[in-house]
Amino acid sequence: MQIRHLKTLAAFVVLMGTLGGAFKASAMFRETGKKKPVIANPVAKPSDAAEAHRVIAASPEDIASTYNFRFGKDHPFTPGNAEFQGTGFMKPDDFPDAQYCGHCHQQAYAQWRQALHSNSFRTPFYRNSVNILIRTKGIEFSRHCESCHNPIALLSGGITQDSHIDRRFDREGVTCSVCHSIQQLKSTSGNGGYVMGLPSVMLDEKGNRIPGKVPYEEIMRHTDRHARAVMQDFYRTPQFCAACHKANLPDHLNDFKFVSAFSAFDDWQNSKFSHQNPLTFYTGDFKTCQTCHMARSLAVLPDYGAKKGTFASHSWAAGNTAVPYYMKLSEQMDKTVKFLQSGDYLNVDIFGIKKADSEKLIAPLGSVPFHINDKDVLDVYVVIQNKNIGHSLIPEVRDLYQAWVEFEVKDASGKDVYHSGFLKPNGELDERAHSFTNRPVDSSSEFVDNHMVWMIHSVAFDNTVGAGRSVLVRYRFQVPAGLHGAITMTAKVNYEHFRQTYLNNVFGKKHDPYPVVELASRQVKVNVGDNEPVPAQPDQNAEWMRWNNLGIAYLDQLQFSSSVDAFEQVVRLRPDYADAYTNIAIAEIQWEKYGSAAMNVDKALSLSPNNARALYYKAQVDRRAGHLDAEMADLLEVVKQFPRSRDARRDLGSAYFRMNDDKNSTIQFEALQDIDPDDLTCHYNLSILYHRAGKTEEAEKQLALFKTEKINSEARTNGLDFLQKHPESSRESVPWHIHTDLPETPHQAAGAPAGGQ
Amino acid sequence: MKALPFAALTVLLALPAVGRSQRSCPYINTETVSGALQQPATLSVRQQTPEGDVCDFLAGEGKMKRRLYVRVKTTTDPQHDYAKSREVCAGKPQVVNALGNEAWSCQLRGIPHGEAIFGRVRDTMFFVQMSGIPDAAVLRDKASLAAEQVANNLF
Repeated sequence: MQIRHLKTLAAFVVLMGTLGGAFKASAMFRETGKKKPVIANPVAKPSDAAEAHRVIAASPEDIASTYNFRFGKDHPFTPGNAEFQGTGFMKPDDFPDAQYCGHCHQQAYAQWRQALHSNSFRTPFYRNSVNILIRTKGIEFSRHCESCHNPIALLSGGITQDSHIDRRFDREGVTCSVCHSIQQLKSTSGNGGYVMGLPSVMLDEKGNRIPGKVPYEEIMRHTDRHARAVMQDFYRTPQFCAACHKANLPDHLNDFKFVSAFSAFDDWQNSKFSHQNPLTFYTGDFKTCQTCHMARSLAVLPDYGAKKGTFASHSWAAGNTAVPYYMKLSEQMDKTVKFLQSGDYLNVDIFGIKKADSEKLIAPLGSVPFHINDKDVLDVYVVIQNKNIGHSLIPEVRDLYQAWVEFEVKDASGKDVYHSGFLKPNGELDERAHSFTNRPVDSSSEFVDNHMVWMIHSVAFDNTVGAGRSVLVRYRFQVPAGLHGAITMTAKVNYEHFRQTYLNNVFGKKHDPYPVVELASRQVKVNVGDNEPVPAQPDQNAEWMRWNNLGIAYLDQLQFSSSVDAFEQVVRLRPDYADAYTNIAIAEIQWEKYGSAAMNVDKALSLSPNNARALYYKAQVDRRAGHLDAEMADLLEVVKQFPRSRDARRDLGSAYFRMNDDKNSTIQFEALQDIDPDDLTCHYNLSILYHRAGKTEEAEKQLALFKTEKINSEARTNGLDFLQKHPESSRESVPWHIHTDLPETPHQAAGAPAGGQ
Repeated sequence: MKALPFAALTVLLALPAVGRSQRSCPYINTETVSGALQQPATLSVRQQTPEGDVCDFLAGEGKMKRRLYVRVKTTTDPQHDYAKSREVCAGKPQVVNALGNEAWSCQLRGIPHGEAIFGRVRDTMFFVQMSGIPDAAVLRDKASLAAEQVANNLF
């Protein structure tokens, strides 16, 4: 009882101190006296629930006395990367609640309330997984997750056994004052790589931050100071998003070693939209994460943050349909579906047909005449292009979210001839579908279900379409005997958030079916008999691009000869297109045909002198030819044009290393590490370079990072064990494979997967 | 024979520790309940009963007394448990969105200023009853907050 009284007294003192601060702030602002519209002051509301909560809040010192410092007193938030700018723990009430902000920012509040950020901690989909971590390994390990899912709980010391924190803020997740109080970004390693300041909505006249809620009328008198308190230039950069939209699994979490998880940021940095990578297959306007996910639109509610009647979206529409569906958030659902189906993000191309008894590819479909008969066995080539997504498909958590290709062939009466990628009656996806998913496995080579990332030792397969790249999906079926007339082929890319088996884990097997969104599709009709060229569909890529995408897909499936053939078709159609020659060279370099590659690169450079992309590959050819000076000159020019090119920095660092120019090699690797703090080549080379320079401590640090970040030597074995037990996954793991219902060939029956080169 | 008193002493010494370990509720902590009830609350009862695992929090005194009652039970017959839960309702329960697999709320019968929220997470039923907060809107909001804490801890 006495202790409780003491706590109450202490809390009362804290409250009076806080109120005193508020009064002081009011007096300070009153001096200027400039008239602005008056908005009611929430601090003056006696019934405000937050104030009542404040009275009974435990102090940070109390929290520290019972906190589990498992990872050391100096690392209270490990295994996450978040930091507090001050000392010790914050108080939950340090973070003004969203309603306080929403008073003046109604548009932002309304959007945020339905968005994923506000619900980051409270959805069953998240809690199902993190609760397993808490129950099986200990709540302190969940700091890895809460760095981004519940920063207030983390920073106020709530992520510990027998926590004494009032958790009402769980409903706010990543609230306004979380993002708008971040004062600094750490490296782009993610896992909550931010430094949190004490939330302040105002600066004083000297630029000092004033913590806590400030009366609205005072904010309105000094909107410039308010803006400076809550906005930072870096909030508009992709690096800001990287703080949480990049993740790895550190050894503190898994008691194993660093395992890379996902990185939407790196995907973006390597995409055409960043203008930082010269090696992309296509070019485009500069776009950031915010360009697409925080696009400006008409402000329909009063919001002082609106500019010219428009407001940067705080809905962050992206791919998650499950949360708005579960929470019955219809606006967010509409926005999400609209977002997923807009933007010309994906292009589906039913590109060609190959008869099983012929090597000739009939392509591009629609542009060439051909004839098919009943009983013909056809291979249909479907090319999926990631045309305008600034990251891979799907960028995060491919073990839970799934996109896949659905391919249907129907006869004139609508009867199925072939169907791949259907949903079974129990809602699960056809195991033989071509999916953009992955399968992480544990040390026993078992699938890691429920997103228990702390169990992951390796990934058995990981299928995606990188930003700007294409994949080729092959389907084989037989035209039924006696069939006449048209057959309709439809290819779709569908998206489901989450896979059915995970939903079953969350809710049990009886639950509503969750939405499936069709992202993009293409339909083509062909006649059993003669087919003449037809006009291109309005949203069809130009013919050169269709070939180019096929070439890219072949390249990624390690079919270099076919890739060269496809790119040569691009040259035929666009002889003035320098990149076409570079593309041939890329395939030839991988095919180790350096002489021909050199000629094609030279041709590209003759068409586009000083082209950084061509120069980069010329450097690769120069290296093989032993022309070190030429290689250096090429790479220096690439770095001059693209200082954030990780590939050029890496190769240049290696070139200097081979020349025994340690100083310049170090400069290049340090620059690369600034772009990608987890680049293995950097860790390896810098450990040597620092050691040579007598920087023993730095050398040891880089060596330790190399050891923990290099791929687990058992990874391949774990993955293969899993694939042996799961033939459908094994098929997907092969760079190219055929999806078919037809009987296996004798070769496949002997044990080889349906695929391979 | 000499060992017996020693064993008894050990058990006696251990009893308070056992008691303390039961002074917290696994579904919602006391501070959150205090916040919801807007008064410092204590966990007055924490026990396994035939009806389920019960946490009973009390705050305030006399006419100002406020209460949060939580009951959690694994079920094989959700329909039966739903029917039993709704017996406390003054009227027809309303569906509550985004809470557990499914959930309902209602005003308590015979208890002024009382709200019940009950539902299911997979095969676990939860029942949350809050009373003593005179403002109906605040009561609903705080009961909903408490129910969300309970349900989400069951996933």
